[in-house]
Amino acid sequence: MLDIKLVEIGYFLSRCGIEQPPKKLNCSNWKDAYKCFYKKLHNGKTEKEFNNSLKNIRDHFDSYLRNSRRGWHDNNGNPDKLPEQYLFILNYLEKLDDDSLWEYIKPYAILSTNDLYWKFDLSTFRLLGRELITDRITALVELVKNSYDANAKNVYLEFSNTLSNKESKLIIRDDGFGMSFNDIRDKWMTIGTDSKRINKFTPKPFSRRVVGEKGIGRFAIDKLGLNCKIYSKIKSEKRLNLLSINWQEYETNVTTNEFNQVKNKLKSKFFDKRCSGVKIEIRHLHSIWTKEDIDRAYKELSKLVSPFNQLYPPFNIFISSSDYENYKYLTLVKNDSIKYSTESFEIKSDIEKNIQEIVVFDKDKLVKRNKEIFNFGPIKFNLYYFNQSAKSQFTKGTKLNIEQQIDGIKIYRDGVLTTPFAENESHQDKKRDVLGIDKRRYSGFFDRLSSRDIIGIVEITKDFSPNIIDSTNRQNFLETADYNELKDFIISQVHELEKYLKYKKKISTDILDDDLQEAKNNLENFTGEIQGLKKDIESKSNINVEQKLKELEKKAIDASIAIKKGIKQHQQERDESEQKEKMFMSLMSLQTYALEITHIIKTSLGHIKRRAEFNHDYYDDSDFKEDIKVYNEEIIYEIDKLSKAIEFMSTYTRSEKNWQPFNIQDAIHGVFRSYQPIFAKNIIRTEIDIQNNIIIDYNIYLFEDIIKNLMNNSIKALEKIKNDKLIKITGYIEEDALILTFSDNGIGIPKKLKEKIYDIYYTTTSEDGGNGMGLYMVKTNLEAIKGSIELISSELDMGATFKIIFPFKKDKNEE
Amino acid sequence: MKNNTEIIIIDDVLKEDDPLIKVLRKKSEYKEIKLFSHSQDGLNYILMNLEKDFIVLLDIDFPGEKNGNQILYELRKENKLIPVIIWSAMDGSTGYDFTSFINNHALYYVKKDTSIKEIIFRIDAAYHYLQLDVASAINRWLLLQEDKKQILSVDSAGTKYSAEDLITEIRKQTSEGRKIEKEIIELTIDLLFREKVVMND
Repeated sequence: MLDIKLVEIGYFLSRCGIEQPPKKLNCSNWKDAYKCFYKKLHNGKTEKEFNNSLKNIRDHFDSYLRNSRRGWHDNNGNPDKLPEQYLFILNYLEKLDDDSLWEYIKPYAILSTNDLYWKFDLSTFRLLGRELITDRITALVELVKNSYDANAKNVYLEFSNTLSNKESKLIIRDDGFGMSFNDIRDKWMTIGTDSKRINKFTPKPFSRRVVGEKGIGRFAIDKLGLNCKIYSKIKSEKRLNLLSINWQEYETNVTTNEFNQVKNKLKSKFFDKRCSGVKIEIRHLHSIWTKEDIDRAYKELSKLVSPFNQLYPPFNIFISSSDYENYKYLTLVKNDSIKYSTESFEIKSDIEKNIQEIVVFDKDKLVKRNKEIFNFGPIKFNLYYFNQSAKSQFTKGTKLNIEQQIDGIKIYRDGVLTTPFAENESHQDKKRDVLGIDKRRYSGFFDRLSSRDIIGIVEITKDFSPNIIDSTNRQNFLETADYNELKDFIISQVHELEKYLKYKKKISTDILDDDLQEAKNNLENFTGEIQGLKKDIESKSNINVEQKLKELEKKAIDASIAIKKGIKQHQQERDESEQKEKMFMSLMSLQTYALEITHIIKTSLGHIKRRAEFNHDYYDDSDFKEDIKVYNEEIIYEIDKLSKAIEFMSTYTRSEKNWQPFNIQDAIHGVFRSYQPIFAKNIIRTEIDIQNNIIIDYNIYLFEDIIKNLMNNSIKALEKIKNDKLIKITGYIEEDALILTFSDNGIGIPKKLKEKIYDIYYTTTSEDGGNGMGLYMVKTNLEAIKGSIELISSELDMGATFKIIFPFKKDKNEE
Repeated sequence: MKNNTEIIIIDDVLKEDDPLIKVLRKKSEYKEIKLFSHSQDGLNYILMNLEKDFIVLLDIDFPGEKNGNQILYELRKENKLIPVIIWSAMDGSTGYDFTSFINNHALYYVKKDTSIKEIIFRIDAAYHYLQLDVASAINRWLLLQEDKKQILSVDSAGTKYSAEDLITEIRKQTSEGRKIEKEIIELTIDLLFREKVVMND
C-alpha cells in the first residue's frame, strides 16, 4: 500500500532539492535527508527499505518535473507517466509556494537543523553536570580528557581577562579528530549512547585507552561559564560546525521542567581546510581564576598522564593566562617532579609468567622478590622518597610549590590518572588522602612517611583490574575487596621503604659511635704509654727519656687530633639536631600576644556596644522585641567572657621567665602528671608518644594551657563512657612544624558543631575547668603564632582527635 | 527605596544577626546589605558586579586569609571609585600602619567599638560622596548608555573611546579618564555660568 505522506515528502524532496537535499533540512547528503523522516514515518520498514521507497518516489517526480536529473522514463525517453495517486498529490501541492510547502511537510520531519535539543531530561542533566563535576578544575580536566580521547596531540587552554566578569574568556582547543555535525547531534548532545563505551580504544596509530567513559565532559562547560561556543571540524568534511549554548536559558526554563525544549543554535558553514579539531570558547566565566587556581590547574593537568608512560604519538597540554606574567605565553604542562628524589624503587609485573614483583627490606637493603599476581591484578609501582635536602633541590629546580607537588601516591589506569584526579582543596592537610598514608601517622610512629615525603605512581589496567572502580563522585574508589587488598599492598610496600630509611638513620649514628670508640682507645693507649714512661723515669733506667717524650708528644698530637675529630663530629651531629631545633623555634613576643588580646577585647567591646546601643534606641520598638531580649543575654555573656579573658591574661603575663625554650616532652609529661589524681579517679588510661628532642622557644604557660584545655574537654567527654577510657597525645615534626594530635575515645563531637566549638560564644557547661576560655582561647593562641587547631576524623572508634600545628619560624628576620 | 546602593560588609567576626545589620536592613533605605565572612568572597562579589553601586565596610584582620590591606589594593586595581570604609579593631595604639589604606583611597576609618549611629553616619556620608563625586556620576551616566560600543570620544592622538572603554578609564582613573573628567568639569562650569548670564538678562 502506498503511503500518501511518503509521496508528499518525495515531491518536496524533488521540488526543493536538486543536487543537494532541500536547504531546510540542513543535511549534506540524501541519506541524512531521508533520515529526517524515518522516525515518524517508517511504519515498520527498515531504514534501507524506507530510503529506497523515498528514493523511488523522488525519482518519479524528478523525471516528471525536469530533465536535469534522469528519473523514470518510458521506452520513448519521455518521463514515465506519474501514477494516479502521485498526480492527485501533485495537484494540491503544486499550488503551494516553497515556504508553504515546507510548513506543510515540517511536522513529519525531525530536524537536524539549526535548533538542536538535548536528548535527555533535565534531571539527568543536573545529576551529571552539577553533582559529578564538583569543581572547576575537575571540569577542566574532563574537557582535556575529551581531547585525549579525540587523539589530540596538543591541547591548548587559554585564559584571558579572568579577573573581569564581562571580558573573561577561556578557550580550550585541540587538534584531535573533531566532531561532525552528526556527532554533535547524535553523540555530543545525547547521553547514554556514548560511542566511547563501545570503542575502548581510540583509532590507530594512537590506540589510546578511552578515559572519558561517562561522557560527562561536555557538562563541565556549564561549571566554567555562562556562554559557550563550540567550533568543530573533521578532516573529511568541508564544513565548520558552530554550536552556541547559553546556559542561562536553561536556568530560566527550569521551572517548566522542559530542559530539552531549549534550543541550541547549531550552524555550519563551508570551510575548505584539511584540518580537524575542536575549539571550545567559554565566555562570562563564573568566577575569577587566580594565579593559585591556574597553578592548581597546571598541577592537576600535569598528573593527567603518567611521567613513565611516554605516549607516542605524544599528548601535550599547554596552558596560558593573560592575567599572570608566568603564564603569559603558552606553557607546556610537564610532570618532571621525580628526578629530585632521594630514594626510589620500581616494581613491575609479568602477566604471562604470572609474576608480581614486590620489595622487601632485607637486613640492609631493599630487594625485589617475585610473587604471584594478586587478586587486584598486575601493577607497576614506582615510589620516590624526598628528604629535606631533596625537597629544597626540588624547589630550586622546578620553582614549584613543593607541598603541592610532592603529595603522595596516585593511581593511574592505562596511563591516565584516575581518582581522585582534581582535588579542589588548596589546603594540603584537608586533602583527601585516599590511601590513608597520613592516617597511619596519627597512630604516632615517627619513622612513618607522610604523603608529603613521597610521590608514588601505581599503574593498573582496566582489563586486569576490573574491580578497582571509581566512585561516582570521582573523589574516591569503591571499597571493593580488590581495592582494599591493593590499598594494603601499597601501604605494605611503603612500609618496607620506611624500614630501610630507619635502618639508614641508625647506620649513620653507628659510624659516629665507632669514631668515638677509636678516640677512646687512643686515649687509653696514651695513658698506658705515660705510665710506662713514668716507670722508666722512676727506675732511672738508661733510656733516652727525651727521645721517648718526643715519640709520646707525637702520639699525643695524633690522639688529640683523633679526639678532636671525634668530638667535632659528635658536636656537629649534636649541633645539627640543635640547630634544627633552633630553626624550629618560634618566639612570639608578649607584645604580639597582648595586641592579639587587645584586638579581641576591642571586637568584643564593639559587640557589647552595638547591642547596648540597639537596646537603648529600640527598647519600645515592637519590631525588635525578641531581638532585644537576645541581645541583653548576649551582653551579659560577652562581659563574662571579657572578664575571664583578662583574668587569663594576668595569670601568665606576670612572669617574664615563662618565655624561654623548653622541651615539649617534659612539658607534656608535666601536665599529665598534674592530672594524675583525676585520671586515677576516673580510671582513664593515657598514652604519650612524643619525639624526645623537640625544644621550642615559646611560652610554656601558653603551651600547657593548650594541653590543659584539650585535656578538660576530653575528661568531660569521657565521663559517660563505660569501657576502657583513653587519652592519647602524639607529637612529631613534619616539615617545618610541630604537629600534636590529641585524641580521646569519649562521646565525640557532632559534625554540625565542628566549626562552632571554637566560637567564643560556645559553651557546653558552665563549670568547665582550666581557664574557662576553652577552645576559643586555644585557637586565638595558636593563630597568634600562625598555628592552627583542627578537629580531624578520629583515629579511635569514637571520640575526638584534634590536630594542632605549631609552625616554626623559618626566617630569623621574620617577625 | 531611597537608593540603589548595596552595602558590602566584609568581616570575619560579625554575624548575620548583629544589631548593625539588623538596623541597616530595617531602618535604612539601602537596596541590600550583604555580609561576607571571607575576604576573598567579598572581593570577588564586588569585582564580578562592578556595574552596581557599592559602599564597602572592610575589616582588616582576616586570620589565614587576605587582609583588608590586600583586598583594598586588589579592588583599587580595578576600581578607584567605590567608597571603602575601614572598620577595625586595629588603631594607632596597636602600632598598625595605615599608610597603604590612605594611599589606596580608603574613604573613612571607624573603630570596631564605634556606635551603630556613627557607622551609619559614615555610610550615609559615603553615599553622598558617591552621589557628588564627578567620576562616579560620569560612570553612572556611561552605564545608562544603551549602546556601549558607540564611539563617544576621540582624543588628540586619534584613539577612539566607546562608553565601554570610558567606563574602564574612569573606574581605573587612568590619565585619559582623568582628562575626560577634567574636561567635563570645565565644560559644566562654563555652561552653568553662561546660562546664568542669559538668565540674568
